[in-house]
Amino acid sequence: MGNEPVPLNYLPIAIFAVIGAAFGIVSLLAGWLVRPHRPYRAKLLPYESGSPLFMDARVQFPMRYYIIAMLFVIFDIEIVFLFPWAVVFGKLGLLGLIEMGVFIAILVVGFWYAWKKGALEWE
Amino acid sequence: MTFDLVLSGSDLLLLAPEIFLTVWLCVVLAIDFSIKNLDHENIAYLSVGGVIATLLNLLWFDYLGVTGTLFHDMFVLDRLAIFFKIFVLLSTVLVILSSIDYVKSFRFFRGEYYFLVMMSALGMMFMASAHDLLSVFVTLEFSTFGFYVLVAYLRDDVKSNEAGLKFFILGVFAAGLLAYGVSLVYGETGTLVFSEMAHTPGSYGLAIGFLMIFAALGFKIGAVPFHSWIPDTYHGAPTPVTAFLSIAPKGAAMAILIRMFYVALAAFKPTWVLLFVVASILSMTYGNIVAIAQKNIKRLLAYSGIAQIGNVLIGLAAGTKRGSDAILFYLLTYLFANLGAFAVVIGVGNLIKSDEIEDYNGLNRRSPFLAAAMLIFLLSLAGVPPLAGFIGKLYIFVAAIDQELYTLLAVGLINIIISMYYYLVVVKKMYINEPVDPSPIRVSIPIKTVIYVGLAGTLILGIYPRPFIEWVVAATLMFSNVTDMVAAALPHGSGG
Amino acid sequence: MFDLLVLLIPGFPLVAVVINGLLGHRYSRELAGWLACGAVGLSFLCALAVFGDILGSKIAREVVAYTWIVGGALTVNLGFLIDSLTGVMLLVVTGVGLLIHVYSLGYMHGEEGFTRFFVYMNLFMVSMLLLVMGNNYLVLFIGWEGVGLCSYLLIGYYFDRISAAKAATKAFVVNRIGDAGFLLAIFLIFANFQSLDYTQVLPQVHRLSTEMATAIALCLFIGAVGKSAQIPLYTWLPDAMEGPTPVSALIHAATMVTAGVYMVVRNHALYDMAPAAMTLVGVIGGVTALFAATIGLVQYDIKRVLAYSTVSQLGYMFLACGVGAYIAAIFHLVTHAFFKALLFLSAGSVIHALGGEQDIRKMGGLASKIPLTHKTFLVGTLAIAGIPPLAGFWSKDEIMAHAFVHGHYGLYALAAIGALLTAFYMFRLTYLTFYGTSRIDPHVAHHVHESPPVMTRPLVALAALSIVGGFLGVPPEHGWMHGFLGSVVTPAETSSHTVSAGVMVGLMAFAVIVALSGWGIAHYLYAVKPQAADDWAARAPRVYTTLLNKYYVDELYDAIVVEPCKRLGRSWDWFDFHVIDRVVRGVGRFADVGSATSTWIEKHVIYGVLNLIAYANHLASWSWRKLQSGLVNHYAAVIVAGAFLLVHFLLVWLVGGTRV
Repeated sequence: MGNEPVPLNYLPIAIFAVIGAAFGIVSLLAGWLVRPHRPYRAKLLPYESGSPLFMDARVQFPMRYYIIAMLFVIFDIEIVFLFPWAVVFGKLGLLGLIEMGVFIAILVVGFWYAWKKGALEWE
Repeated sequence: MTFDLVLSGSDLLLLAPEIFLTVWLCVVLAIDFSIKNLDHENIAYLSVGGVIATLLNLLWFDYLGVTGTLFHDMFVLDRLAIFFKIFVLLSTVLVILSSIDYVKSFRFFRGEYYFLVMMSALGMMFMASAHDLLSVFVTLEFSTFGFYVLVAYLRDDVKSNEAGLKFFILGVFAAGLLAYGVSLVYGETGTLVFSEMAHTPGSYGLAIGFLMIFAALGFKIGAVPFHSWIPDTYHGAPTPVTAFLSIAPKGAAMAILIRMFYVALAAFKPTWVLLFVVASILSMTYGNIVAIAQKNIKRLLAYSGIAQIGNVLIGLAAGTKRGSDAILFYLLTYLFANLGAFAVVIGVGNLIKSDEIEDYNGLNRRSPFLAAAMLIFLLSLAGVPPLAGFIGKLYIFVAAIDQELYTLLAVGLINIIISMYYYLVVVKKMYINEPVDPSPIRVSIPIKTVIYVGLAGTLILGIYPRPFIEWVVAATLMFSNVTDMVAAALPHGSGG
Repeated sequence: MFDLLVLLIPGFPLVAVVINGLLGHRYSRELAGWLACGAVGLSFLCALAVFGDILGSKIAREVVAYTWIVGGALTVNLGFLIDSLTGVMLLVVTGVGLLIHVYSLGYMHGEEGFTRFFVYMNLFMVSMLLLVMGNNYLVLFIGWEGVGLCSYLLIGYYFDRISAAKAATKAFVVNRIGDAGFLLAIFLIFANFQSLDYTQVLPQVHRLSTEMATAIALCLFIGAVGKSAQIPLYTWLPDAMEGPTPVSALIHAATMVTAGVYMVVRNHALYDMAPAAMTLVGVIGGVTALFAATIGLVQYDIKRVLAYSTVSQLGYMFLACGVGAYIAAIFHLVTHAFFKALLFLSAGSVIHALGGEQDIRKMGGLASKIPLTHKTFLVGTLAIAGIPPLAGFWSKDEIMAHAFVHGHYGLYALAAIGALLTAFYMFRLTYLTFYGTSRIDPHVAHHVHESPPVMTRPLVALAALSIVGGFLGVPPEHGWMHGFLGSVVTPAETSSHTVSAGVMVGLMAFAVIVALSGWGIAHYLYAVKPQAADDWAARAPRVYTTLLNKYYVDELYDAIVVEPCKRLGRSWDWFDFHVIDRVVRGVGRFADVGSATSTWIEKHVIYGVLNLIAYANHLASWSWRKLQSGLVNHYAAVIVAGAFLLVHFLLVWLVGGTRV
């Protein structure tokens, strides 16, 4: 393996990592040492443009949002593939068409499944 | 790197098994959701039929000697790949058969279960052919996705959910390590294909990169210190999924490990031998000692699996053709014994709704067949002659002796003794203790089939292993000069 | 024809195993029993035919069934080597095995699982025959493991006894310790010779260095120590008496436990190369012979006394191997098979008569009630005690004489004291069981009856063999046995020592005096002055309790091996369980981070740092629990740590550039 006894190439990275970590830790520690310690409840509240809080930041969303979002992503990806394919469609020829057909067919099976299982119904 | 879209008919032929299975599993899914009130058993048999057809296709390929590479060497079909594909598909068939009764207890998504099992199998088939770090990453993730869902399949069961969550978090973490490793290796070598790396000079970046990849694969096979997801995941997952998880991904990941270390890193063999020696000793010792304390049969088999992987790693530590032969054969013996044992666990669990070892008390009174089968499987796992496990261990140890790895050999032998103890605890409960509830246990025909296949495999591989040995020897023929390659590479690879 | 006969010897019992095992529940138990006995009978006849052939030709022949393992340099046949040593072992195994099978028909009559019992017994016969017939170390090893497995199944035969279950597991695990040594030896042999066939290995052993020969010999001997119950692995054999009595007779007295002796004799060429290993074999044998005999002095279970006596007699055989008297070892193996099988079966007959009672304190005065059993037991006792001209005298005397003549005076002394004790505890057993006043439970007393002919006929046959069996080796060193085995077992330097007849006769006379003294003491303590024995025990209570508790060896092994192993397993299990638990909580917290406010993060990061400092303090105080709960918030960290540890390991080692 490498002839040099120490991997000098990586030295800058190591230095950078150490400085980066030290910067974070030192500034936090300095702040903690220097600042006055007077905690009270209002200080622990999240800051929402100065207006008082009216509900918890964590709320539950209906599951359906996720399903729709996931379906959306699937078709998003499909488009991502379709665009470059369309650009070079002429060069790819018949084989390219078949390939894309297969790709879309697989997606269609999934979409069909989701449809049949009622993923698109908002009830 | 440019991709030309060139595919000829012969190229498609190489992909025929995968293409067939893909079409089949889409069809199975379509049938499942389009025909109302279709019994899930029919879906199961449909799936088994498709997998067996794929299996026969591969056997035919093996017989004809079909080989070749595709997509700039990203995908390779050689006899090693065919061996591991057959390995994965065989375990898939057995797992589906042993699932049928279990799936009855699911309230939802019965048909999808088989779809997901087949999808994971498809992913693992691609893993067996991966010859490039990119395809390693993609296929590994592909096969794992199915498992993420399968492990958490029991939606109302907290343990299953917990198992799924743990498996997912740690799995994604391993994927991160893998991606990091791949990028490091690419940065150092400028290539992703294994065979092109064979002559690159070594560097620390390369070493670290490959270690990251090893960590990810070690996670997959459950080698210490990357093992800790195994007990809880195995415990919580539906038992057939545990069975699947305990054998198929290990085989597929082993295919990648063998390729990676025998092809890409052959020149650095003296370097990585130590890695496997350490991992093997840790896995064997840890797995066996912790197994002693187990009270749940699934956890026991989980830890025993960790120990068995330790044995397999001995073959990699040998790093020779004989080592790879031994790994392949050992995995075969492990397939039959392990899946057989799990089939018994599933059969018993379906009826008594428990996986605690205590509840195996007096199994011999309740079902002599199950008890006798379990006895043979456990003895094979423990390596008692003339069962398959013994021949497997023998080959592994002979490979280690060739390379004069005496420390490893001694540790392995000591571990055989330790393992005997906890396997016998189960046997003792089955044969000697009194059953609390003496009602007989009946097993369904599919599970019986799996057990018979397991028994046949365990006995035949033990008593007449010759054809199988010849098969694995042929499958790894390409490594027959691996030691020479090392010898040739050594003078150039300084420091190693 | 010869080949077929050889294959049929293990073939018949194997067929019986398959038929009885698969179809046994379809027909009557009697049929299953007779089928099993018939199979052993047929294989005995085949063994006789094969033996006749060897007797005529005196040539070792190999018979190969098929090629078992191929691949690389390793080729192993399922093959058999038939020479005079195998011939003798074959006759002992099938002959004594047949008698015990027939006896079992009566003894096991009415037991639950009758068919299963005979399946296991036949399976045992198959394994034992493979063991003595194999032409290579792997076939030997299959037989070796097979007999161990059958022994396990048969010890645990009585479901309802917890002690039986424990004994069975113990026997198997202890045997596995020996097996590890045996396997290591096999691998070393393979590494040195690239073959595992006797005919390839044994003639070549002179090529080995003394160190390597010693290493292989010692590893083999570890296997023998486990299987033949020698110090320090003898503890399983007395516990194995939980099994049915015919099992004790067949497996734990006549055949399986002598496998270690057979193996050492088979490999005598190797031991001749390794004097240090020979010495160890002799010393272990001698010490075991005496040690086990002392425990046998005070035991009250009739079968346990016999078990310790077996351990002790096996010690004599190893002592013989250790001093180079290989033929004497086999000779003693044969005679011991006769008289120990006889003793066990007679004891079984006593237990049968008393409805399962094994405690000799609850026996006595049985001589008139079961006269035939009494006579056969007495023959066995006389034989083992070494009273001429019964079998045990000749073989034991030859071992002791050989040790003395070849200058192993220490071993001779051990053997002589052992012989005295043997005569004593065997006559003690006889007196307490058959003579004196009856201490039998009155409920049992009026049921006492002689056993049926199916049980007594094997006893008579074995008694006859125990009486005349010794003449196979008469005159000492030049008997028929010596001539027959001489072609296989050529002792290194027998002929160099010519000993005057006077010395031999003197040694014999001394041996007889020793045996008679043992008898005399037993007679005095248990017939003339029955209370004297208790007085002696009371005078040295500590010695007595130590012996009664078998020197506390079981307790010692539990404390230093078994418990620590279990504890380690449990603590690692605890670690795994709790670590993973943290992951879930860690993940939960991780998920919170996504939706939490910056205040939340600030608070926790700061607190995290503070906590780290606290953990460091705990580390200093070695509080492992706190350490774990602190550092493992994300289990994944362990994986990373593992990966980096490996990296570190590799880098260090790369720079070092050494090779393992």
